[in-house]
Amino acid sequence: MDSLDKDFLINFFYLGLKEVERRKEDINKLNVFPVPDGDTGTNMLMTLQTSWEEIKKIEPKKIGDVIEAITKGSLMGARGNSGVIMSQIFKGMNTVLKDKESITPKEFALSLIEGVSKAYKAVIRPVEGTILTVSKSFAKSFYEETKNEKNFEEAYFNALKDAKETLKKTPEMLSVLKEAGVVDAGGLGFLIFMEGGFKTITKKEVEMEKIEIHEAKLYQKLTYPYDVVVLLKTDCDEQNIVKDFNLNGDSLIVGKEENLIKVHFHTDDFIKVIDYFSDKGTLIKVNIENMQYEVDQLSLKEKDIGFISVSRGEGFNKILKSIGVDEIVDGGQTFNPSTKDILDAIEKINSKNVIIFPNNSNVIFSALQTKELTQKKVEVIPTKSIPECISSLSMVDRNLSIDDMVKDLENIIKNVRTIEVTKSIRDTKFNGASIKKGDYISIYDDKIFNSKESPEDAAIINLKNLEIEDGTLITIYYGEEIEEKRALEFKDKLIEIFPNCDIEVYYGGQPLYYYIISLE
Amino acid sequence: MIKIVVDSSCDLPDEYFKEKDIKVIPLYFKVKDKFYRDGVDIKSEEFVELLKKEKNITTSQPPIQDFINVYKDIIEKGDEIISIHITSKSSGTFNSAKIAKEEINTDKIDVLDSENISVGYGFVVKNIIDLIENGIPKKEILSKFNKIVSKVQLFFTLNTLEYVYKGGRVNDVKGLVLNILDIKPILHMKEAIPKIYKIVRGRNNSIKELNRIVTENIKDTKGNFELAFVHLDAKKELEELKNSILSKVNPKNHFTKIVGNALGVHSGPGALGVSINYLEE
Repeated sequence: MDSLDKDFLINFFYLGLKEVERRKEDINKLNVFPVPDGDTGTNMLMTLQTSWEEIKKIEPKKIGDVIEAITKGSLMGARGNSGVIMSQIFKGMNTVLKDKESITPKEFALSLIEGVSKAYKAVIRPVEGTILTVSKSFAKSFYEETKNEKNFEEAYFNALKDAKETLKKTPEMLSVLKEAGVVDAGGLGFLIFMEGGFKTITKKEVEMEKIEIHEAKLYQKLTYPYDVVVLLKTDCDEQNIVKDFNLNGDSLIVGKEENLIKVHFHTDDFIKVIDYFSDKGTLIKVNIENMQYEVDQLSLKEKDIGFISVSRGEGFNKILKSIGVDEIVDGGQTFNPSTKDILDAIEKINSKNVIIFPNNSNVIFSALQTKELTQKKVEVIPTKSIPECISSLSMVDRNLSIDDMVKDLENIIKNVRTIEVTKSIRDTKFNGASIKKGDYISIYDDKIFNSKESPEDAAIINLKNLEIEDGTLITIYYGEEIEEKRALEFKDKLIEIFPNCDIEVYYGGQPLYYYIISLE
Repeated sequence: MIKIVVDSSCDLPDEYFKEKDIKVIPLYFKVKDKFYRDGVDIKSEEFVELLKKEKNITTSQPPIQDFINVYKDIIEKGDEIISIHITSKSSGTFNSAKIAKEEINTDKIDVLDSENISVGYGFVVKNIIDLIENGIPKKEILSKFNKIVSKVQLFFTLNTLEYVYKGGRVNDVKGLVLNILDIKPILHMKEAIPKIYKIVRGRNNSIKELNRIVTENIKDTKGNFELAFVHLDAKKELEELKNSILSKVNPKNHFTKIVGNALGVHSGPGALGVSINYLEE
C-alpha cells in the first residue's frame, strides 16, 4: 500500500503550481465565465503562489502541517472566483487531513471529496460547467477507483481521464462557454494543476491526451483592432523605415514594391501609425480595416428579428450593417426598389420576423405590399430617411418582442429631423422663393432653402431657420461628391454656429445629396 | 456595538466614513501584474491618467484574508459586525466575505448583499446606519433588508463603451455598437445587475435624458428622498447636471462623490450617475 507523506504533498503541490505557471496563458485565453476578463490563469497561479510561500515558511513534521500551510496561504492569496474555489477545496481537504502523519491514496481521495463539497457550499450560486463540476468529477472518480483497491497511479490516471471528459462537456452545461467555443477556464486550471501533481506519482512520462485550446471568441478582446496598410514613396529601405518604430501593436510586415514601401500593422491607434509613416516619405495610400467589426458580426447570435433597410451609399451601408441591419436593398430618391426586391431580401433573412425600414416616403408603399406576399411576419417602420433608421435601430432595446419594438421604433423616429442638401435640377418657384436650376437647395419637411454659394451655405440657412435646442445631436452624413476635408470644415463651421450642440460627421457616400443631416 | 464593514465600491462622503467609523476593505485592480488597492495605493487623478493610458486593467475581489483580519479585529474588541457588499451578481466580494465569516466561525457577523454599486450601494449602507442609530434591533434590520435595498435606485451614463465592454461585467451592453454613432446608454441597477435603461445618441442628449429620468422618478415622492451624484473625470458636467436637477427638486439631503478605482475601471472616464434614496414617509 502506498503511503503518502509530507514530502509527497510538497512535491505534488510544487509540480502542480509549476504546471499552472507554464500554461497560465492557455487558461487565461479561455476565460469567459463569470467575467470574461482573461485572468483566470493568473489569479489561480497567484493563489497557489501564496500557498507555496506559506509552505516555505514552515518546517512540517507531518502531511497535515503541509495542507494546513497550503490552506492558510490560499486564504490569504485567493484571487478571482477560481482562486477562491481552489482555496475552499484545500480547506475541505485540511479538515480531513490536518492531524494525519501520512495518508493512503484512499484518504487522499476522500479529502478531495470533502474539499469539493466545501467548495460547493462556499459559492453562493454554484454553477455547473465550471471548476466545481470538473473537480467533483475528479474527486468522485478518484475515490471510486481507490475503493476498488486499484494501484494509486492507475486510479489517479483514470480520474484525470474522467475529469478531462467532464471538462470537454462543460460547454454543454454552460451556454456562455458554448457561444464562445471554449471549455471552462477554471476547470482547465484545476486539471492542469492535478496533471502537474501527477508527475510526483508516476516516474514514467505519461502521454496525456491534449486538450485543444481555442481562444475564446470574445469580441471585446481584440487588443489591436485596426489592420493598417500604408503604401509610401520614400528613399528609406525596409529596415531603416521601422528602425525607431515603437508603437503598440503586432503583425508588422514591411515589404518593398519597386520604389514603394508597403507596411502592414495591427494597432489600436491607427492615427499614430499614419503620423509615423507620413514623416518618412510621401503617403500614397492608406487602408484601414476594423477587424473588431468582423469579429462582432461573427459573434452575433441568430436573431429573432431580422432587419431590412433600403439604402444607397457605401458609407451608409457600412453604418447600417454595423448596427445590425441584415439585408440592404439598394434604392433611394430617384431609384425606388420594387416590391420584389424587398421580398427577396425578406426571404433571404434567417428569421421569421422581419422589420423593414423603407427610408423614403416613396418606398413605404412597396414595403407594405410585401406583407401579403410572405409567410413571415413583416412590419414596416415608416422611415422617410436613412438617419431615421440609423437612430431608431441603434437606440432600440433589442430584447423586446417585435410588436413592442415596432412601437418603440416609431416613437424614436418622431424625435429625428432630417435635412437633405442637393442641387436643383430645374427652375422652380417654391413658397414664393424662386429657385434657379443649379442652385444648392436644402430641404426640410415641406420647406426648401436655396443658396447660390454652396451646399454648406444652403444647409446653414436651413438650420438657422429651425428651432434647435441646446444639446441637440447634429449628425452630418456627407455624400460621394464631398471630400472628407470639406465635410470636416463644414463641421467646424457648425460648431461655431451651434456651440452647445454635439456634432458628428460620418461618410454616407450617397449620390445626388451633398449632405444628409439629422437632428435629434 | 454594531460596526459596519463595506468594500471600496461603496461610495459615500469621506467625512461620513470617518464619522460613522466604517471599515472599508479595498478591492484590487491590476495593471501589468502589479496590484493596487482601490482608494489606498493611488490618488484619483493619477488613477484617471492610468485608466486613460493602460489598456488592460482588471479588477478582483479582496482576498479572504483581508476580511478575516478586519473582522477579527472588530470582534476581539467585543463588537458585532454588519458587513455590506457590492452586488454579488457582478463581483465575488460578497462570496469572499461570507467565506471569511465561516472561517472565523462566529454568529457576530452578518454579511449582506447591497444588490447595488457606487452611491446606490452607499445609500443602502446609510439606510442601515440610520436604522441602527434609531435604536432598531439588528434582527429587525436584517428582516427589513430586502425592503431597504429596494428603496434605492441608481441611474448612470457612460461617455465611452470601451471600458464596460472590456470589463465584461455588463452583459447587457454586448449588443451595442462600439465607437460609432456616438451611442450613450443610460443604465440602471435592476435585479442587482446593471441593465440598459435607455439608449440615446450624443453626450448632451444622454445627460439631458439622465436629468429627465431622475426628475421624473422623484416627482411623486413629496420631497421624501435623498440624492447622490457621482462621476469620474466629469466634474463640470456633473455640476451642471446637479444644479439643473436641484433647481427642479428639493431632496432632504444630497452629496457628491468621485467613483472609486475598481468601479472606475469598468465605467471609464466620463461616467455620470445619480442615485435616489426613497425615504419612509
